[in-house]
Amino acid sequence: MKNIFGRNLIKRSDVFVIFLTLLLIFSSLLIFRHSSSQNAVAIITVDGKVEKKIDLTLQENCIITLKTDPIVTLEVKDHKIRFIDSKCPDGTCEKMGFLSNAGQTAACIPAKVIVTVEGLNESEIDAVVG
Amino acid sequence: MKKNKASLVALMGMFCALAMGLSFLESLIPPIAPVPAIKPGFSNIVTMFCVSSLGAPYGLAVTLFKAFFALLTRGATAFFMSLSGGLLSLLVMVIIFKYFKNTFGYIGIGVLCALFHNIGQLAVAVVILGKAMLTLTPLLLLSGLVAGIVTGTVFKYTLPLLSKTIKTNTHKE
Repeated sequence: MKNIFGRNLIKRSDVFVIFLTLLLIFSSLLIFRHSSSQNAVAIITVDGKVEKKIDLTLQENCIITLKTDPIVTLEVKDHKIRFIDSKCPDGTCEKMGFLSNAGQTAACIPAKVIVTVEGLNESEIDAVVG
Repeated sequence: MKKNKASLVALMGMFCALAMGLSFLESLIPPIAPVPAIKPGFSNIVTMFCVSSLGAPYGLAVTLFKAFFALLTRGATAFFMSLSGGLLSLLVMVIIFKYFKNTFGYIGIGVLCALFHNIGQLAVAVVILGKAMLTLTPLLLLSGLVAGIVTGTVFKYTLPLLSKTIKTNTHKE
């Protein structure tokens, strides 16, 4: 494999690849982006199953503790939700900050906890935790 | 072209250490997005170099080593994500260097490898964590595009230097 040096930094086919990728990004945005709505609902998923749905517009400030392994603590404050503590080695989720708009996602991968914010109808919320 | 086995072993040790060091350096950068997977992916340069200059088995060795490093430092989930991303990216790399040798420039190769790396990771994330992870698709594709352009460019300028090391170390006439 010697002729690797003759390669250009960018070729015509590269432009095609980049263009195709951009197209993919926009189409996936259209597919997966939920339209932002006034009542944002935080959906907490543990190990693929929905654990809690919280209406961020109605929910008072509170702390939610999930009995996962490692234990994960979430905070709802001013209609926003965030990870505040996870007993995992990397602690990436704690740095993710607040989520408030539909389509935002944060995950604590070691504990298999995902928080997504979606714009749903009020009827789909099963409980307001407090 | 005979290869000196001892030098090759030493070289692979160096590459594995390099991949590990780059992964560690990247983990020091604070996450810009709410997912740990979004990184420049500089250690992919090492894999790209191994595949292009030494051959696919060497690239596989580095990929497996990287996944093992992820297992030690970040746990089983990180291991599976690193492994699936790394293997898919490796597969694409091997295909490119074998069948589309002259089709793509450095940026094209970098982008394709980074994209498939992220797709592999996303696939594992969806299996382990559920479909909610799919909402991250646009973000992961975008990060793959940017990271690919960066790694492709860096690859172009590091390749001549690395190849020089290989030629002086592993080829005995």
